[in-house]
Amino acid sequence: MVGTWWFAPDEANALWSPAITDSFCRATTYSFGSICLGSLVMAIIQVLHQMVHEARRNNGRNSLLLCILECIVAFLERLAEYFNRYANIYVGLYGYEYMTAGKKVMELFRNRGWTNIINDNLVFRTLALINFVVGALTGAFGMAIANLFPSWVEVFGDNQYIASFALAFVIGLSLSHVVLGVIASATDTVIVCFAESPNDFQANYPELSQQMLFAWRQIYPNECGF
Amino acid sequence: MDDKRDPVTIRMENADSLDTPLLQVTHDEESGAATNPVAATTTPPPPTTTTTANDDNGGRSSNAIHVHNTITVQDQVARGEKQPNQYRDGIFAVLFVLHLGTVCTLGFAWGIPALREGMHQSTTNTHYSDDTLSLTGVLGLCLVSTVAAIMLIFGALCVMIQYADILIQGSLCLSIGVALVFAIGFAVEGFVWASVVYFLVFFLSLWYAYSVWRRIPFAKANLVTATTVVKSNVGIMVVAFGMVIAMMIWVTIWTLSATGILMRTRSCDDSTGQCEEDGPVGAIATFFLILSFYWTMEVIKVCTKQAILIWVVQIYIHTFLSLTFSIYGNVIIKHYRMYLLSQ
Repeated sequence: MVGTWWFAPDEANALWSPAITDSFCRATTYSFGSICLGSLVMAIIQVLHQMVHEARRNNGRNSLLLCILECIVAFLERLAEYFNRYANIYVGLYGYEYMTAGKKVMELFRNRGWTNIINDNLVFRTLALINFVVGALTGAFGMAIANLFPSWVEVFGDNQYIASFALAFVIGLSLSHVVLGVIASATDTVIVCFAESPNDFQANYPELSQQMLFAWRQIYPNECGF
Repeated sequence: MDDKRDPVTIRMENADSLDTPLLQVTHDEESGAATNPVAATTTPPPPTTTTTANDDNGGRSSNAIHVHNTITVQDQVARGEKQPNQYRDGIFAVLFVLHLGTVCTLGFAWGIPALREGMHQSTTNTHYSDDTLSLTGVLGLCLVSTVAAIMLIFGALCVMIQYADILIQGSLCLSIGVALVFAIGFAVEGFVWASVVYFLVFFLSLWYAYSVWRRIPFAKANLVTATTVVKSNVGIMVVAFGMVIAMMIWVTIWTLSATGILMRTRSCDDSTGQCEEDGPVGAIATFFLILSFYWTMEVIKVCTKQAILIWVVQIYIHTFLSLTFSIYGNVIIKHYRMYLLSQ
């Protein structure tokens, strides 16, 4: 969807644009195998990590060895996650096979000289903060409701305020996490599209493009020449 | 090239006035293109040309030169090409569907009878008061909180676009502040080692903030662009929430299947609560059950292009298990608990 928004704005600027339907259909048909492959790799590593973690927790005698093993598996997991994240974006944009997509996108970043840049997690940190704030505000709202309508929450007994806060907090946190999760993925795709085709971005969204280019030039004057 | 070019000077009224391209050429390994910057060709501004991600023209040119009113880009980086519509890595899709079918079949064939057995046992031992059933008010609270959360989220999106840089700076400062508060708190309480660790975290956070501070403008621009994309296509949220529902359905089916499989591959002692796997079949089944769980969750996550944290699902599982436990409270739940604890 971000790709369509980037390259063909007319097809991705509506409440329910054709880009959403097209993206979903491609993800569940032509590219489904590639998604399954990437997910299987991630799942195997996650299971291994889980097993080593539990073994370490339950076995004190060989904890040093297991600790090292867990570090290795955790490193592998992060590596796979990193590869998977960007490979899936290329799968979504162009419909490559999984491995080809991964190689291509890494090659793109290497050619741009961006290999040490795309690891920035400033955006994710900020989204996590917003997520927490939305959860806390919703929780506070839940407490206010409990205060206004005590009969609604009398089932919680003496802990009605805490329970109302907790319930509303979880609701707010979960909903905002879904929304912000979409934005987090969109930031990754924007990075790839920005590396891939700054021209189209400039042509279609000059204001946003200028902002990104100026910011880029201030930070990385020697990389890519942006 | 002037690295700190003023924002005003980067804009061009006429492409002819351009001396150097604003985007340099970088080395193209595949085509062997030159690595040096090349002066931009002074072609007239073309009409706005947009290449769609759906067209089948073989992708965009890898040596494109575009001149627009405000910027000129000469770019020779190898890019992706739109692939023809064809099933890729199909074998894994088939494997996935087969695995999904197997888990669902096992869930219905083994899981539901096991659950029925548990319900039958629990109804003879459990009594509920009417209070536990009067949940209408709580449902009202949930609905009102949901509406409030949705409004807050849209408010947050607007704030994010306006004050993205302040939020990014705030998140960095917050992590430093939290580490410092913990370090001082542990020091006051006499936990020396914990305090030392948190002081270390504090200094690391400080160093991290210092090193990434100059990147904030780009992170801001990136965040604003991403938020604009999502706001322009709000319908994607329907897909995202639909996938959350799919996740919940999957967890329910998986739990049923796990119940059936574990009941058949493990034997539990009711008096001690200890469970043992019946030979290697149980261990293998457990491994594939967990693999199946993670695999499907990953596929659902990727299909929506979002990163729903696994904790959402874990909260769901724990809620589901505790509800089930409070209602049924029988040997099946002991299997669950022992299974989860032993993993």
